Amino acid sequence: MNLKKNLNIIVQLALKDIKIKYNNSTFGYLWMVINPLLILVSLYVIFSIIIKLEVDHYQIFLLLGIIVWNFFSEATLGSINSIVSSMPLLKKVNVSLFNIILGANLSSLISFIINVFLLLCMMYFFKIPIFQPIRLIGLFYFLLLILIIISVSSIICVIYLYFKDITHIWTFALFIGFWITPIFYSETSVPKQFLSFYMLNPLARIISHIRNTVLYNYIDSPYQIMTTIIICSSIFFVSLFIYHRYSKKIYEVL
Amino acid sequence: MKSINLKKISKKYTLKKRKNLFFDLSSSKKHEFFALKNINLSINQGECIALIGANGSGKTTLLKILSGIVKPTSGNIKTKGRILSFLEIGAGFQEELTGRENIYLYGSMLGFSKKEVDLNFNEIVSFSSLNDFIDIKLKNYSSGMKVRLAFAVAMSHNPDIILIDEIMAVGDEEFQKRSLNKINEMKKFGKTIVFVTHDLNLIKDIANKVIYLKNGEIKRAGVPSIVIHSYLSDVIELHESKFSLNNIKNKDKIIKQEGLLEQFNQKRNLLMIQLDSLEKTVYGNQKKYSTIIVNIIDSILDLNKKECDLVNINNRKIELIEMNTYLIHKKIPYMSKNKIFAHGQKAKSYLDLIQIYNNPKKRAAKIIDFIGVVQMIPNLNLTKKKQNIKDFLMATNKSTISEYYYELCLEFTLFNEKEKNRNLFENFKDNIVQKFSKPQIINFIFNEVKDLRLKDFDPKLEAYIISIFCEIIFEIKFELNNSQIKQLDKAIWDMLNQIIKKILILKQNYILSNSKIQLDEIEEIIDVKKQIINLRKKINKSNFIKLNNEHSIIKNIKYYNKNNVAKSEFLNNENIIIEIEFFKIPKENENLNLSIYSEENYLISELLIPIKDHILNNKIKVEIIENPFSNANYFVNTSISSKNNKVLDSKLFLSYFSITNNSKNLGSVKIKYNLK
Repeated sequence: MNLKKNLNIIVQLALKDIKIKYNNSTFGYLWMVINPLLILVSLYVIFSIIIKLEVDHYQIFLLLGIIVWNFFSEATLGSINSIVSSMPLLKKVNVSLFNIILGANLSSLISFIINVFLLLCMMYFFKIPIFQPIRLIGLFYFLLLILIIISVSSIICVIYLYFKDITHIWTFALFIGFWITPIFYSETSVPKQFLSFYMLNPLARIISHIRNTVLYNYIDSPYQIMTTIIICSSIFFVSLFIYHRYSKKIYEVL
Repeated sequence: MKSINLKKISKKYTLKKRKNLFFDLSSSKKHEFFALKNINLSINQGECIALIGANGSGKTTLLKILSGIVKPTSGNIKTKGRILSFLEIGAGFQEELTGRENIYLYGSMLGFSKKEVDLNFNEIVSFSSLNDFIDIKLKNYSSGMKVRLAFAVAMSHNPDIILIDEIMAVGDEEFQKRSLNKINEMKKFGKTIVFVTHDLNLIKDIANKVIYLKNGEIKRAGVPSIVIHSYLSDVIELHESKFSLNNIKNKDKIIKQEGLLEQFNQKRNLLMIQLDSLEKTVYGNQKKYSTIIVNIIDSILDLNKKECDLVNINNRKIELIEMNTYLIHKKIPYMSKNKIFAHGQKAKSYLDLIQIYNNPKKRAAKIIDFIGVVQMIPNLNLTKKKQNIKDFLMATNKSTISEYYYELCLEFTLFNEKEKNRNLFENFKDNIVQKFSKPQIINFIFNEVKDLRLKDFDPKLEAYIISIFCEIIFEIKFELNNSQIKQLDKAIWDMLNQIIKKILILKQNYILSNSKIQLDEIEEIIDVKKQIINLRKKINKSNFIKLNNEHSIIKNIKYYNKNNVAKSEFLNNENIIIEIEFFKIPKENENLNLSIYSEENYLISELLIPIKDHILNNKIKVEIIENPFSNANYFVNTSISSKNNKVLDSKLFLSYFSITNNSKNLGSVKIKYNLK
């Protein structure tokens, strides 16, 4: 009962975010599709014609990384913005912080799904087989990705309650993160001394996993997968702890 | 069955002050603020509770705690059932979304599933009468529409506890009616309602119980009238409130009694008596009725824990004349005619007053000193005891006085400065009449006199001027026609009454001002009063008033003791029978207004008797039972008024009786008038 109610609230909040974002423009919801489509197409064109790198199917390689990263950054930053815009809700109506975070994440998720769909179309266009069973393991990584996003969003939102500067800090962190994560290069380019630290970044792991599975048809070793799972779960538990401990004081601090 | 139960709830907020924009870390000072302290509250199911209190007293915080938005710092809450809270108009409403979309969003906030909202959708739309607007963005709604929408969405739910925070103020008459109806419906179904309001009239319509919060604590909780009373007396002076206690439901009426005070217990004083309505002295059941009153008074006083004297309300006055010296020692705030006269330090001078009052020799001397009044008037920098009338005039605000009057006053000033001999009054009068032609005077009297607001003016001066007018009027009355005479008469009466009132007030002001009394000046002033009284008599005799010979006229007032012996002197605690004789049997619907004044012009008691019901052989008898008066003279003023309060005849300050010994017990005046 409680879960259903919460789910409803989350869905409504996500819909609200989307509606508010796209309601006023003429094309409205079409922008949800057109925007990523344009980005994907232009990037594709740029990296096919203008810059040519030696990686096989570089365009898909790049775009995969980009959409995952976009999902992550949109969801985390978006959750902070969602709190700010839902301030009246938090203060006056009995809505829990977690619902708002999840709502923001859900709306980012929706755009991520659209992106993925477009990418799959593109892959089909380039005759990369999509429906091989191995690739469906990508779905598992996808779940891990969602887990990371929820955890990081919660941590950041709770920190935001106490320390509003986190918005700026996180923007910077995302900026740096973009370069540190193997989005437009492969992780093999990283020098061996740093590789172990480098691969602690869960997003780096996830992106490389997804790429391996989806593009190169290659399942990583169980050791690698376990490490990823451990890293993601630990971040998740940390976020649970922080949320539980520190989000009660929300109303004094907001 | 308890619906809400709060135990020892406290809410502490830590506020940080921002020092500067760069370093907001430890340079900010922390400040602890207790929004609620140790609240213990339990509300039964089906009750409708109003929360009142000054802004910042913790009402909204309490509601937030009840609705679960804010967790208390300590204490625990138990609530039963679904809670619905309206803490702000459309809290959670998104301006960019349409009404329909908001209904679904809001509905989910409140815990509905989409299906539930679907079912109630039409009902919501029709209750809020937003039929065409439901698909328009909320930013285009008026605030009233938003409230209606919010209310409609919430009411379609079935909450068990409803919490409302001051939102009923918005919304047109129709909507307010509808929401009140809905709330009443909810009450019938046994829902618990807690609301915050500043509209005290709303409370009397729907609340069972009122809680008054002050600085985070419950100061008083209980029956509406008593709690509201406590709130009003804390916040503002009672009579300044727009709220009229008169309209409280029957079971909550405070006091309704005119001219009857019960015996005070020494510790208590009456806080307020509301005298608008009323029923006559209930004769047969007097004891019972009076005990009820005493109980009510006691409970109010206990609740308020205040000791003060009576307050004037509206036109029916009861001023306590005889102070219990014990009470004076307690530094009572004395309130009379919208002003607090004695408070704290000033009570000492009040004490002096009482001592003087009890001394017969001094009493004669201590009546009025107009001149001293000047010191009490603000905005005048006159520090000398004897005012310079001219300066005084200059200093007052010219714009409030008409030109004529001002010039007249100047004339008088000059006169006053030159000649203190009142025999030259005649000359002065002639000067006036010459200088200002008669039509001007007539004009002035008609148009200006009735509008004169002589607040800042020296009443002695005023009295003189009025007397001049009266004299002039005598001369010119034959030049006036009937209606003009009527008007004039009314105007003069009004002015005279104003002066007398002013005398009462200003005198009180003065008495507390610590200036010394000069016996000469007092004599002068007594003379003025006598003049006025004589003038009245004159006017009476000259038929100014008796235009309509059909109404009743007072012939005589006599006093008898209980053995029916005519007397003019009585002892304390004796029964005094006052007999008012009329010239003829009066018309229907005329009222006799009987008031007893002390020598100092304190109004002791006042009665309004419908003549027809009580007249016997052209006489009305009124009996003061066991009079509480002490050694002094008491005037009995009588006047006859018609149904619409028009004064038809009046015998003011002309009749009195005396009491020859001191009273030991101070008490109330019990007047019996149903002697048929």
